[in-house]
Amino acid sequence: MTKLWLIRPGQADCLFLWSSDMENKPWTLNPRLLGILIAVISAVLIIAGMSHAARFSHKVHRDYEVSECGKCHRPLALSITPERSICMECHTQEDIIETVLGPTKTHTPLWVNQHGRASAEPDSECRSCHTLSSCADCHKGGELNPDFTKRSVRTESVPETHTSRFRVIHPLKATGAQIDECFSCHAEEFCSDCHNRTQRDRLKITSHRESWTKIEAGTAGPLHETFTLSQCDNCHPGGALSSHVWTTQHAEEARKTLKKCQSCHPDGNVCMDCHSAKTGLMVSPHPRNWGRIKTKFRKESPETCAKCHTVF
Amino acid sequence: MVLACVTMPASALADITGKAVTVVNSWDEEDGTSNSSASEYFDLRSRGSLGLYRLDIEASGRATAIQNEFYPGDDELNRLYSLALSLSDSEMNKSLTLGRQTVSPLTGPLLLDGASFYLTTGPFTLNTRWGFLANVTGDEPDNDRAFGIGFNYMIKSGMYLSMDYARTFASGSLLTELLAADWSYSWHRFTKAYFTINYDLMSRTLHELLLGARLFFSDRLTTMFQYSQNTFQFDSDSIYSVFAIDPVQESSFSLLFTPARDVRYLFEYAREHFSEGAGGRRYTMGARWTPGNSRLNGDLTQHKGFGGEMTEVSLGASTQILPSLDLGIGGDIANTQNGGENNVTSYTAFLGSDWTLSPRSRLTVRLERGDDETLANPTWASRLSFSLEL
Repeated sequence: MTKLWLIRPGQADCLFLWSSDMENKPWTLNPRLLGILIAVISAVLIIAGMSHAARFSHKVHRDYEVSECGKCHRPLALSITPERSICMECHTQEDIIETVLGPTKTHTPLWVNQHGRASAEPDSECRSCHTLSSCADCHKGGELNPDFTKRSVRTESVPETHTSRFRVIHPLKATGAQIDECFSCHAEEFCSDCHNRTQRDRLKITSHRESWTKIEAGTAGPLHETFTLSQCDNCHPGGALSSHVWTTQHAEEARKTLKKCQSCHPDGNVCMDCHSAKTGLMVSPHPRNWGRIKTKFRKESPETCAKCHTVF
Repeated sequence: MVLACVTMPASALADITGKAVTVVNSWDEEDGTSNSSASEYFDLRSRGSLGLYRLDIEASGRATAIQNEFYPGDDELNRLYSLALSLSDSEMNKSLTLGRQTVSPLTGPLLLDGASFYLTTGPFTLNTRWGFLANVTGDEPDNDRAFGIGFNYMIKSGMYLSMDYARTFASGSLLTELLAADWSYSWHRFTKAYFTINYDLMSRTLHELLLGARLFFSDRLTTMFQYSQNTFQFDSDSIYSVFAIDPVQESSFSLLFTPARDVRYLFEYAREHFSEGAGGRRYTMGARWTPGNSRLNGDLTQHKGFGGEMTEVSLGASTQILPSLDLGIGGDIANTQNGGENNVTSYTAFLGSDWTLSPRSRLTVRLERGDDETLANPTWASRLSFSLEL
């Protein structure tokens, strides 16, 4: 194996931070390697950086009878982390340098992204100030702390989809994996409950605006909605489909936002018109790794397999 | 659980705190009909002792009555969020919680009717839970069960490792099986790096992946780099669990700049992309000024990509006109193009007030006027809430 340090500049540009071609042109910066180098150095600094600092503890402070929150957490302070000058009313500079605050960083303005994990950390002290129902205030729909501005610089705790312009922003938020955030508090039927009430035709997803049932069979033939499922195979032997907009759109949408499909079609029966192995077009909907996971599904959830397969 | 609480000795319910909030909402529908609702939220916490053990009881919930002209007969669900009793030793190293409780393991939060147990020994904490998934929809309960076990370990100061394994069952079938791990490291006050993975053992896919770092250059400048990948996960009794799904990936960068105590700026940029090439981007620029007892804020957000495009501007201002009375005004305007629709511009404007009646009570009022693409005419909405701390 070639020793990396024996490779001259130009022999393997991708390996070196600074490189030149074989004609001794001025050396140029290899951005790819520079990025890797910075990432490696950062990782080493982060992982290897030893810290023997003591960890701040509310419990210790309480033991020393610092029980009043306001002694450190001053009213109208910008951050929940007290300023160092407040700590130094009791501590020395050395005490402060050797102490890390850890989870208090969950109270920075970016706390929304961080507090979930931090609350599970072993020395999580969330409960020093918060009750369980504090979580439910945001995560279960309670409105215990109404405010004028539901969102400003993302410092408020209410999801942005719950602002006054919910109707504008939620179609975008509900597209893609972010819809998982919705379903962490709402049942899947939550969407259809509303969409079934208000102008449902305008609220259809893209592929549904021009459903396959409205596509003519062949050239100027009858609409697909006039056929029964048992007739699919007459024109689409083996599930073969001609390529058209709806076929492409609905597959793409389903793979990206399958939870949205479930919202209106909770049992998925409509999918089985084409994707069941018993009837219809019999187009397989399974993922690429199906061969590796099907045994587990057969064993653990045979009823699901039986929905589409007679023998499995 | 209620019976247990009632029959407890007085020492077990020594210190009771809580909060009750009454909220009255009214809103118009597009045809001009009006709706209104009244809700009572409550939140109670008791701390006492039972022999050598510390005893906590927590309860929270809501009761709502709704008058709905648009959909006569609709009834908003009344909901009990939690009622749980915790027994802990004096050092809080061992804790057993029984009842309806929110548990937040790495594999995902659950509202559980059951038991959870924590045991801490030095830097190591073991947690386990078992119970029925709470049904708050009012439908016939599914009796789905959940079990999980995990640990948290402080490797060294600032560095944590957590793992969790969770299963849910329904009448003999395995619904979900997840394995998650989380590592984070805070290096003094300068940086924090974190890595989270949540693997779906049923479909053998990466349900969640999160990798990021935060750099706190000073108290005034914070940056965040983050990469995440997410694939939908379904219960195995759903036909959707056997369907192909594209993972979505998001890379984001945000910067928070606080040049002075009363000024704050935020910039955030995120790119989202699917495995087949579609994607989107989002950026937000915002500012907040809090001179004295006043507050001004403004945001500009733009989404563009798969699913639609939207540009939104929001502005708000509030000020304290009396020591106990705040007034606020604000609004937003958004332009949306969504799935082939024409350009739609919508707006919302509101007035609000917040009156601190006493150190333990507060009254807020909000009046809102809005117009958006789903409504034929602009509508009014209002909310009044009164909160009282016990």
